[in-house]
Amino acid sequence: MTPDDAWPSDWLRGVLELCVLRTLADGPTYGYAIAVQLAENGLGAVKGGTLYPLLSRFESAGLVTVEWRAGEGGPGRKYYRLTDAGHSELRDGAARWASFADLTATFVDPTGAATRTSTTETAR
Amino acid sequence: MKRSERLAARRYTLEREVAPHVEEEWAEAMLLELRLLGVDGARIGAALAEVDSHCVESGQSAQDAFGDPVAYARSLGLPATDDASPRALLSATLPIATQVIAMFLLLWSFTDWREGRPLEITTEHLAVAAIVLVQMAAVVRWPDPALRTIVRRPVLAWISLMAGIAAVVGVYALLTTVVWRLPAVPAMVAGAVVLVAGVVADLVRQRSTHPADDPVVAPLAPAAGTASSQALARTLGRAVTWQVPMATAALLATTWWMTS
Repeated sequence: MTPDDAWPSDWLRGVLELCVLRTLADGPTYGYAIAVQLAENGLGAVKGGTLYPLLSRFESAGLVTVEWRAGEGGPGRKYYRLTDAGHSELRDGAARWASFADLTATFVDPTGAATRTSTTETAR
Repeated sequence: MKRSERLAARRYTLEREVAPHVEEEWAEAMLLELRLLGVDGARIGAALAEVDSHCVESGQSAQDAFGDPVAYARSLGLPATDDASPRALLSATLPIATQVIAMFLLLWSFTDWREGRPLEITTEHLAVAAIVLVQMAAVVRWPDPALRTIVRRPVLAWISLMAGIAAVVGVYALLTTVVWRLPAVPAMVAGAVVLVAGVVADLVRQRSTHPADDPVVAPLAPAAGTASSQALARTLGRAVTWQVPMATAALLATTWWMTS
């Protein structure tokens, strides 16, 4: 995925919260590592100005706990750990998103033609 | 070191300490906005340090990664503490307001006593008091826009203040109807008593709360250094408390000299 064909920001806004919760499910991590992981998984470059307010909301909603750890030679890092409430938010959200994505995919492409074309292109 | 560098070093001491890798103006704007929102010092320090950390690891500038510092500070939705909110800080100025009113009463009655006549409360006195009270009430009722104007547009704030003073002076020159005639000495005593009460109220308030005692610190920084800043905050607080009594004393002495 190149910056030229980045996903529409409206789409990302809807699903970013869930994606960030997912990156936290593998264990405590910090802001920049989350941004890198999102980019590596094809979600594009998420700006700090978008990511950190989201993490701040998670913190005040009790979905994560935070801990500062000294960085290696650099400044400290703020690690976020998913709480039980955060885990259940991720499970519920993932299930709902799956059915939403399924529904919209079937709705916008009832014959499945677009999906087949896209699969053929990827295979080439 | 050049003079401009020395000035920058002094201006951005805090920003350089908490977020050394962030553009100084950007860090200052974010810090200021969080202060105006009433966020406590520890949370401000943590938010700045997180920006710093991200900038170092991503190699991006804060402006590129986070955009406008004021919008970013607001988007974090950090909770405000009552002690640090502009409203609390301004309600702390009420004892000072009492002192100012007492100062006027004392000065007016002192002048009349020196000139051997009773204190005459005129429409001009009442108008001046009303204008001052309305201005103070407006600032207490809408503290955020008032503080924002003072911090962001000092020139505009200064012009507004001067316009307020001009209005007071204008009123003073126009209205001279006597409303009450009071004996000067009891009025002087009343003024002095209210002034002392204002000072005592302020000292008591400072003893029970520490609004200025909320330094911005980096999350992993050792707790050292806060003792001196606390002492400084306390000294500054005391200096503000004694400002009105000292000004009153100076003006009384001037009046004495001019009427003798």
